[in-house]
Amino acid sequence: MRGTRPLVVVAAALMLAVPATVAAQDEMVDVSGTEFTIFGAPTGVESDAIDGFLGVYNAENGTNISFAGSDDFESQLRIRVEGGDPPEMVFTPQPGTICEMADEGHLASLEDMGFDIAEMEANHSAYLVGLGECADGKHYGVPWFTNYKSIIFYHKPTFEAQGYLIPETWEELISLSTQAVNDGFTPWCQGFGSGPDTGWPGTDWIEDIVLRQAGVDVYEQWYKHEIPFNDPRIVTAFDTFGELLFGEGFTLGGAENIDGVDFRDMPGPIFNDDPGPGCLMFKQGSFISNFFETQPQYEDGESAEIDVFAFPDIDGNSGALGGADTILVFNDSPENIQIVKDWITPDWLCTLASSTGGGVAPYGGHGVAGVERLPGHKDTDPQCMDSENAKVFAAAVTSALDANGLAFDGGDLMPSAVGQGTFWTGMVDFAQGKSAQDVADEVEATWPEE
Amino acid sequence: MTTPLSSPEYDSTSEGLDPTSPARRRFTKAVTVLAIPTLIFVFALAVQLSKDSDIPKLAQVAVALLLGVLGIWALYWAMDRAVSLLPARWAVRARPLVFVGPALLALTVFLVYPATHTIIISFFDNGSDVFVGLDNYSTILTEDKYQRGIINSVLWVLAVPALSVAIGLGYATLVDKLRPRTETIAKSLIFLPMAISFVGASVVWAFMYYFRPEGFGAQIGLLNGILVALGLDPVNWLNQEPWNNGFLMFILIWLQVGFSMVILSAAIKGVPTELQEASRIDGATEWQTFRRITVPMIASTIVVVWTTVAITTWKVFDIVAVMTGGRNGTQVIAQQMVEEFFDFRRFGIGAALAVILFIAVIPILVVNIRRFQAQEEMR
Repeated sequence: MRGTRPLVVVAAALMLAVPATVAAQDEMVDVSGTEFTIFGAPTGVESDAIDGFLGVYNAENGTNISFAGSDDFESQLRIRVEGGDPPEMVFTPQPGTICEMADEGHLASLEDMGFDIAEMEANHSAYLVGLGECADGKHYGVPWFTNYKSIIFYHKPTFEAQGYLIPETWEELISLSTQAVNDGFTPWCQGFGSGPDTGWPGTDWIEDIVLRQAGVDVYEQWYKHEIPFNDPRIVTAFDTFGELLFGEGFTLGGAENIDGVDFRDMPGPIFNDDPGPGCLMFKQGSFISNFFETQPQYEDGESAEIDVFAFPDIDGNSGALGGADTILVFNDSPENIQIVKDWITPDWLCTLASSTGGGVAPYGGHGVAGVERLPGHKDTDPQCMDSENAKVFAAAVTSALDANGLAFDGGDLMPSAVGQGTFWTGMVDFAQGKSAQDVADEVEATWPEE
Repeated sequence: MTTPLSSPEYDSTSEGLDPTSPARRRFTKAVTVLAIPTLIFVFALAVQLSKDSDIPKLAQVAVALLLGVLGIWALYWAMDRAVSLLPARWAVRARPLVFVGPALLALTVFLVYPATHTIIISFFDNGSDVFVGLDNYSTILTEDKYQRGIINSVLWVLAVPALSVAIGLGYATLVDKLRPRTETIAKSLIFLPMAISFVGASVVWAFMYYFRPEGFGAQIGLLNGILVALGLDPVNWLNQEPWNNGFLMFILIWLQVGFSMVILSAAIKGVPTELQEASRIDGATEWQTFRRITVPMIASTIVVVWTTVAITTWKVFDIVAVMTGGRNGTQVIAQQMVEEFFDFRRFGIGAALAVILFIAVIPILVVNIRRFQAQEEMR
């Protein structure tokens, strides 16, 4: 964070020095009749919700924008860009790839599209906007919606029946897990499977641990490669995760098999009734509730079956880890720019947020029940969310955006050979018994030279 | 196609010698000389227009087809006329070049250029900026994961063609003894998988090997379903190093046996029955007849099938990418090449892997073509 800020200030100052461009952006461009397909990673119900959102936008503005999602989004985008057939625009959860494409001249910068950087930084946090800042000092990513990762889902009825307390430190989390095993439960569901991207769910654990155990400064140095990946503090983080992953009876189905469990199927066992939940806890980003087989009930203020608690502190440190999907614009036609500007407003984020828009969305919700997306604009009303959990996350995220305190998923900021390659496969190797040191050494060996 | 091409050729000779109408000749000359640049301009314009997304897709397809067929015909026609304008002595020499030229040009643009370019960037760093000599090759030959890829690829090339040919040959020999109707049915059954794409077959086999850890629901994979029904523990097939490589190879064998069986069966039918009967009269057993008569007689077919399957095997990418993504020690060269090039954007390493694959295929290709030619000459 700290490294990017002075540059951002310079860029913002430059923007203010050219008032003509700033004034020009207030005019609304007529977007009706615009037709293109936006490309992104979501599939299944998540993609239905994007379709629902676009349906509302199209109806409101007379556009004809559709969505194509792919599990293999990262590779497919590369192939299309290298092949000279880039999409009009995409949204990606991986800001680490932005500058690779921007440096090759494929993307339109926020400066050239007439965005007010200072205003963007105020609304979407300087940190998120700064993630898209590339070698030429311009910004290439428009933060859209977010997710919140520093949370652990748990089976509330069992916790209440057994009198388990919400763990506030890592030690308490481990001793709670041991307690659960002694009481005849399997504490953890883990699932690293994700098709060609298998392994990434494991990286979130390491990131949350590094952020707390080694602190936010080391966390930043780590993903910027100012310290090597096999730094002793990172190896320690792997071993800390190992305490939980390899604890006797801790992991449902055995740690060595979890690469065979798709992260979307991972929550499944917690909903088992007979003879009881298959596991009591799992960690995943806030979006995972989109894949719940049964929706938790919230009527009359009743407590949910599945609730969440914050990722426990380690060595007294806490943190807020999240992710953001970022829009990248390949074709900066005036209509496309206007569309992006519309989408990142609190009003449209409210439509994107949930099925009904919480009843407060000016244009209504996206209409796909159970799919919720956290806002990427600090002024979005948390009431836009449908579920109580999501309202809490939305409030946490919007205040984190306001305070510039949302740390990004480090793996997604690393170069693709690591962040989408060896860090992912390394997590699978680790789960199958390779030592923390060996995994970290191998990832370090594949870090591309600057 | 032959008629329109040959008629102007015929015309040209008679017309070229016709001194009676100089005005007409001059006109034809002008048309011919203008036709070639005009056609090239039209092609360029069409390519430019096809990038315009405002034109409906169907219209684009129609124009492309029309230009592709008629345009190429017109280009050949115009070039033939142009050749006819040359003095007769030169025209004879130039004509074959004119006809083979476009094909050579296409070969250069779509095959020679990319291959040369790949070889060149394999000597550059991963951003294709700095010349690094053989660094990429030494990285591949020394780093553990690439070594694994090369070793696995070699294992694939040793196992898959051998087993495909062995099973195909055995099956072809056995069904040869059946009644014609039964033989057709038996052969069709083995041949069916040939119709499935590699990715399709991988999806089918993903459900064969499907594994769920305990607690994540019932086993829906066939193999684990059988194991559980027999009271045994399910197995995470694709995590069993090094056996998982064998499980993946089996998919390719399943796909290729049909091909080798059909070709070998045809070859077996070509072995003269007199020879086999003579050997039987001399007291040879079935095995001896097979070993000493049939196999030597079809040896060149076996080599052609073997090498064809071997080349397919070197290039295998789809099965590994779909089933395991190269995890758990299942990486192969072709899959690593795609991963390095498109996922990790390490162009140097990716290109070097492509070159290694290219070099590995060459000797097999040479044997394949030589044998094929030898076989053709025997006919």
